[in-house]
Amino acid sequence: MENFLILKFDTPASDIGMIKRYLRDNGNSEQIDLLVKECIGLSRDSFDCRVCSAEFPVETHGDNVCLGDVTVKSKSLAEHLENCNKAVVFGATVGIGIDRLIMKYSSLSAVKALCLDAIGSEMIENVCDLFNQRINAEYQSTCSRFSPGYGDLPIEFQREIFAILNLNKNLGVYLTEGMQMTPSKSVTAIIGANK
Amino acid sequence: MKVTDFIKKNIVLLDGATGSLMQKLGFPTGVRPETANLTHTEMITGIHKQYFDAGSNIVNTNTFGANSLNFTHSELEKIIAAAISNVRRAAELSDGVQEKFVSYDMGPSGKLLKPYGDLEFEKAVEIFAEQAKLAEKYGADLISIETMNDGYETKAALLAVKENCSLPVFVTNAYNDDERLLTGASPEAMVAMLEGLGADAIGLNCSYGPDKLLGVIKHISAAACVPVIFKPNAGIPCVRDGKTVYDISPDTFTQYVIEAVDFGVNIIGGCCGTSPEYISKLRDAISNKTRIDETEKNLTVVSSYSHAVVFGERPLIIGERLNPTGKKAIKQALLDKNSDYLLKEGRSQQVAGADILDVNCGMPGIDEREMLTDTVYKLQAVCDLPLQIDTSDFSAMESALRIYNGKPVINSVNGKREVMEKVFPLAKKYGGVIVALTLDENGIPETAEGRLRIAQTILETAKEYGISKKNILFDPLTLTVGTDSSAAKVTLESVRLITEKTGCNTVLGVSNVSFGLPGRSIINSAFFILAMQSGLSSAIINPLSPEMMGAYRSYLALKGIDKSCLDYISYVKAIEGEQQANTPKAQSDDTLERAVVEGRKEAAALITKELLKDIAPLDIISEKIIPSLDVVGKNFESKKAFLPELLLSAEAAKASFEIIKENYSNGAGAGKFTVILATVKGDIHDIGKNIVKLLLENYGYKVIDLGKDVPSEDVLKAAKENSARVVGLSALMTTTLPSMEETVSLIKKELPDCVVVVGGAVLTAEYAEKIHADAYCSDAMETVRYLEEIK
Repeated sequence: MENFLILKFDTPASDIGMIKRYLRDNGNSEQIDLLVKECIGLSRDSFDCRVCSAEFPVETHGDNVCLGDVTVKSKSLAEHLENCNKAVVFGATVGIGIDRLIMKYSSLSAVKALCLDAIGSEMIENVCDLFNQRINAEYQSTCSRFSPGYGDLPIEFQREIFAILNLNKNLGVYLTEGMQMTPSKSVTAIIGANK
Repeated sequence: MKVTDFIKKNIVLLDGATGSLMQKLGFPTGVRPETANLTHTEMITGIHKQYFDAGSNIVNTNTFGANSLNFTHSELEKIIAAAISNVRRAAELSDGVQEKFVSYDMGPSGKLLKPYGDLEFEKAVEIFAEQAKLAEKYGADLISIETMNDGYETKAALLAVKENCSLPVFVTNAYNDDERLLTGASPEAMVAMLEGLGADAIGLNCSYGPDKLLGVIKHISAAACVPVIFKPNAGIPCVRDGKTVYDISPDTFTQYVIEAVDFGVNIIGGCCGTSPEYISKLRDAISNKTRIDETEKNLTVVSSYSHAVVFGERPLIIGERLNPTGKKAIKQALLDKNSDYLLKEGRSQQVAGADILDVNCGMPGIDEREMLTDTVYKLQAVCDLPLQIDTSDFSAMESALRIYNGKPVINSVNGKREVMEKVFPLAKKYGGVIVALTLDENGIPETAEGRLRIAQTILETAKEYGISKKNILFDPLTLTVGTDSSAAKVTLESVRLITEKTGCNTVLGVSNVSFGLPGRSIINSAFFILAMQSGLSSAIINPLSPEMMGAYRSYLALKGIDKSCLDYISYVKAIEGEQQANTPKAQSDDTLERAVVEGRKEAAALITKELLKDIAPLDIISEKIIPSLDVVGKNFESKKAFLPELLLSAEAAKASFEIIKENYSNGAGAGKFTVILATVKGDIHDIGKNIVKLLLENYGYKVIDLGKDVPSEDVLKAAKENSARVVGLSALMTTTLPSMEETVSLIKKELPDCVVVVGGAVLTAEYAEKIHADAYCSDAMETVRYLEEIK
């Protein structure tokens, strides 16, 4: 394990267009734009954006991928990391505040709860993108993010990622029995890279 | 010497990190470190001995993750027995002449508690209870609960220790760089809750270096009456050449920690990245220090998951509206288990300026214990105000105190012996500030002196239970001035006398003074001002009453408590703004149909009010609201409108229904069947299900929402109890599909006539058919359409 990092990001700006994609809203209703803006205002202070990451050497043997001491069997991950000698494994979260707001608005206004959910989803993607930019600048080449549950990489691989990065302690992110992450607006992923 | 005595007379030295030393000595990564107690006994004992050699008084066992989520009971017993004996042996082997104690180390469970995670509070208590029993059985001197970053889990652990063993207990939390726990608690909130539950010492460990955490430890030290623990990391970790290193040297570390000792922190040590060298530097640095003793802060304080509220600085407002007495809508909400309504009621009181919310669920025909517990549980998840648990049913009181995430107000005790015997043990166990009514077996004394005498008896009895007077809030009782013209005078005099003679804080339910009189809020607000002037610390009132809040804001401004009248000015501006917003009537050419289609909530409510003057409620629903919803529904189905717009319309329709309901009971929903909704076990995402619920309610179905992560038995039970025609289930993740299948087959087996509808991101029509559900609906509108076809 190299380059272990815990980073805190300033809350990135929200993009209304992207949020509306999460809402599956292709319309141009001014009313909805205003509503989304209002919810962005409601949620802005609730975000606490953090990333915990580390770099591992990558070796593939057939369908087996070794990330440092950890080995996982996954054809799609092996293909994805085919030309990489390193992998950056990371966890990211925007914190529990947005979950609290979503739960609160679930009893006050379903449409606001829905908007807040979309805002949270867009926010965690923004945080991942910011982190990704940093990684892109640091390595010769990188490939796209790959998460447990993609292709044949088992969702249970979450447990390994949580253990090697100690995400409970370092980010305050936990796994449920059903392999969902709490706080819910959290992501884990692997970025293949070359150095 | 006992640990509890030792920590009160000395500056106490704890140990440093264990994990990093284990790695240095070659313990493999990827193996649970707790197993080393059995497999690497000499290594572990050696590490403990290094700390005793360096001067540690208290060394933690290597048991951070030794819990039943990671080990079986028999494994745990072996690990814990060995871990304690390893520290004990290290103490014997060390030449150090200092007092030495063995501390059982209790780390977090590794799960987030419900409702944000999936671990039940009582399950968490069980996990910690098992460890506490074993720690005592195998001879630990104390238990250290540590690195907790969730206040609620910390409560579960502390409660488990207090309930299951008699060992002293230390509690340290891991604070963020914003000086809060990850789940939001401030240091003051943690101090209030942990002292209330009876921790022997409290403080912080882990997360950052002592430099970044000095602010937090200062806050803890300023609020706490028990000894304070400071056990930070050696800075921030980074990995260099494959090894984790920390950026603060032993000398710098010592400098910062000693700064804390100088303001009264008396239990110190190190966490991640520290080594015996750090501890021996600390030992040298404290060798010539004089201990600064803890002081009794005498603060009357309550807390929520996020913050503490202190009595005595300014009069506090306790919102009274979450109480069914005399309130039809709340009664109905309790009967229907409509928690949304209760949460809204809580929310509006908070917006109006309440500091604390009273919660009372006592009414005939409901299980008060279940209802009070459930309401407190749901309210505390979304509302950051401390709660006042208001009940005369002691089993309901205990159940609500147990799951409360903080230190509540307990309402109430009085001078009757049998009541004190019930309430004080609960207050002692769970913590809380107790409202104490000055009445006893002989009723309410007619004089202030008589009420003071009861207050004094209550204080003496509380003391016998180990409850200090700072945790008693006297209510000298407001009687109605309409039947006894000296009633108000005696109450005011009692407030003054009790405050002066006992030094305790006070509370009054203000509005009783006007019972039977016209214009109640006029006289209530005048009485309220007089009471505050007599020294009243808090009042249980309706914060939505402009007269009461006007009196309150004026009082604070006039007394100079509200500096530059800033709060007063913003209060007046807010009500003026509100009046303007409320004055416009529905525009004459606007129609309910348009308001619903365009999703304008306020307009829909206003127009409905107007329409009700001429049109029967059922006609408004069937001729105006439902057809408009259908228009939006069709637009949604043909992709001319999108989900947010559909929901806006649904909310406008709901606003209209609420007006109808307020005016006519049984107005909406009569005749349609009952639907049970639930997100299946293992799944904690329920946005989609909530949308279905809103739409179904709009169309007049009686919806019983069981929430998320619901076991199949609970769905069946609710379906049976409510004779539900339809059960709707949702699941978001492939991992929870098996519990979807299990629930469907259970319902189909037990209630073959019940229609089961499924939906959610991972569901498909094929899968629904495979698991024998009656239908798959891809969205909320489709669910409505499907249900409309069911006879």
